[in-house]
Amino acid sequence: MALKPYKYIEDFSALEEKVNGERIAYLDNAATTHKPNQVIEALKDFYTRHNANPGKSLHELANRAKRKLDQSRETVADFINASPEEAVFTRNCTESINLVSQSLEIEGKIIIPEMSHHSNQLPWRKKAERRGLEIEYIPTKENQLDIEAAKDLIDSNTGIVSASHISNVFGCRNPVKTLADLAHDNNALILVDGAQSVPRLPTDVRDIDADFLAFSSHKMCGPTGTGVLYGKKNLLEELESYQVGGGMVRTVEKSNIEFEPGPERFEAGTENVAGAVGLAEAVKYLEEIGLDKIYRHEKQLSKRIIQGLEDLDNVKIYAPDNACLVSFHIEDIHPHDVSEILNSRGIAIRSGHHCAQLQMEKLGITGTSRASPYLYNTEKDIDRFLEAVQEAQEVFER
Amino acid sequence: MKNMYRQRIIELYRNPKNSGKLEKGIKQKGENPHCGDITELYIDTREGKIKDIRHTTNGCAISTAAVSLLSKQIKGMEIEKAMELDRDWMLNLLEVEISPMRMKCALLGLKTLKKALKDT
Repeated sequence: MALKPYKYIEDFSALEEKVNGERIAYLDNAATTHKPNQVIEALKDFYTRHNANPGKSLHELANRAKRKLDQSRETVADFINASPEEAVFTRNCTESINLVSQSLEIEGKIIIPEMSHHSNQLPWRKKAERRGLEIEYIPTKENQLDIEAAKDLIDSNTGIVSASHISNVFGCRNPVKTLADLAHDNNALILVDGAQSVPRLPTDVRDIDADFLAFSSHKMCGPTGTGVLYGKKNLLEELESYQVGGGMVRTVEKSNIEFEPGPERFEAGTENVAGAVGLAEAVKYLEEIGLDKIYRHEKQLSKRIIQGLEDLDNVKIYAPDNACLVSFHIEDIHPHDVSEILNSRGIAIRSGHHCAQLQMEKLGITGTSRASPYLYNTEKDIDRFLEAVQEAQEVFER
Repeated sequence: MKNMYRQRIIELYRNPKNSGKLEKGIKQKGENPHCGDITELYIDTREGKIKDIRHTTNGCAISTAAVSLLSKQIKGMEIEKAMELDRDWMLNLLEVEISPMRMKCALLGLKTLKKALKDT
C-alpha cells in the first residue's frame, strides 16, 4: 500500500510554519528532516524524568539514564540488523567517518566515488596525505556511479572503498553490495556512507556486508548532534580510539590504562544520551511507517518532479529515472536565485554545490538546485514547487 | 524579500553596465567560493581618482547587479572616498531588501573594489 503523507503531516509541527503567508513546502530533506512530535516528546521525557550521568553514579536516575542509553543502542542496532556492541554513538555521520579514517590502519589505495560528499572525501584525502597513500575516484556516468569503472579500480592494491549508498547530489542508489564483494575479493574493507540511505532504505548491514556504516540522526527525524558508526565486531575490537577521556576506560593506573571493550571505548566523555533516546524514538517512528514505503513514496514524488521539469524549457536534470531526490539547473539562472524565488513562495529547496565541489567541477557547473522529498511531502507540495520554478523562469524572462 | 528580483535587478543581470576589460590599470579578482560568484574588476586610477572601471562578473542576479550599480557610481570618484564606502551605501544602491544569506552576494563587488584600491 502506498504511503499517505497526510496521515503523518500533523506529527510535524514545524510544517505548519508559514513563509510569506504560505504554508511551508519543505523539500530540503537531504539536508535535514523535521522532527515528529513523538521525538520531541521523547527528548522532553528524558530530560524531565530520567536525566543523570549514565552508568557511573549509583542512584536511581543514573540507572534510568544508563538503561535508556542501552535500550536506544539496542533499538538503533536492531534497525540496521547489527548487534548493540557494534553500534557506536557519535556526533554525526561526518564524525563516524572521521573515526574510521583516523583510527584504522590502512595499507593500499583508498577508493571513493567522484560524487562523494565532502564528509566522505576530506577524511580520506587527509588520511592519504598523512600516510602517503594513493586515492582514486570512481567516476560518475549518466548521473550514477560507474560500476564498470569501479570493477577496474578496485584491485589487490586496494585498502578501503568508501562509498555512499544513496548520493546526496543525484539521488541514485549505488550498488554497495557489489562494491563490498569487489572490496572483499581483494582483501580490502568497505565503509558505507549511509547519511542519505539509512533514513529511507531498509538497511541490513549483514546483507550488504558493510565493514562500517555511518549515518546521522538529524536526517531521519531524530535530533541533531547524534550519529552512529556501525563496525563489524572484530574490526571495532582492533580499532584504537582516537579520542580518549572519561567514560571509555575501565582502569587508569600510572603504568597501565585499560579501555572498555565495547562501543563505549569510542564514546569518550559523557554521551549525548538525549540524542540517542531521540534517535531511537525516530527509528520506531520510521519503522512503524515502513522504510520501503518511504523510499517508494520519495521515488514517486521525484518522478513527478522530473516529469514536471522535463516539460519546461531550458532545464537540465541531474538525476536518474529512479532517483529519490532531484538536482536540476535552469539555464541562465543562478541556483541561488532559484532558491530565493522559491523561498518567497514558501518553498524550501537547497542550491549550491551540495558539499560535492569535485563533482560539480566535473559537471562543469558551480552548483545545482535540489528538491529532496520525505515521508511528509505531498503531490501538492510538488505541484507548488513546479509552479514556482516556472514563475522563477518568468521573473528572469521579463 | 519579494522585491529582491525587481525589474531593475533582472535588467542589470542580463545587461550588466560597464561590462568588459581595461588594458591597463589594476586588475582584481573576487569570489564567493560557496556560491561560485566570481567578479574581476579592471580599474584605471589617475591623480587620486577612479578614471574608469570595467568588470566581468559571473554570478547570481544580486552579485552581478550589485557590481553593475557600483561601477556606475564610482566612476570619477576620489579613491579616498571610495575606500570609505560601506555596506549601507551598497545596500541603498541596490534598493531591494537583501536576506542574510545573500549579503555576501550583494557585497562581493564592494569587497573586491576595496581590495583593489588598498595598494594604490
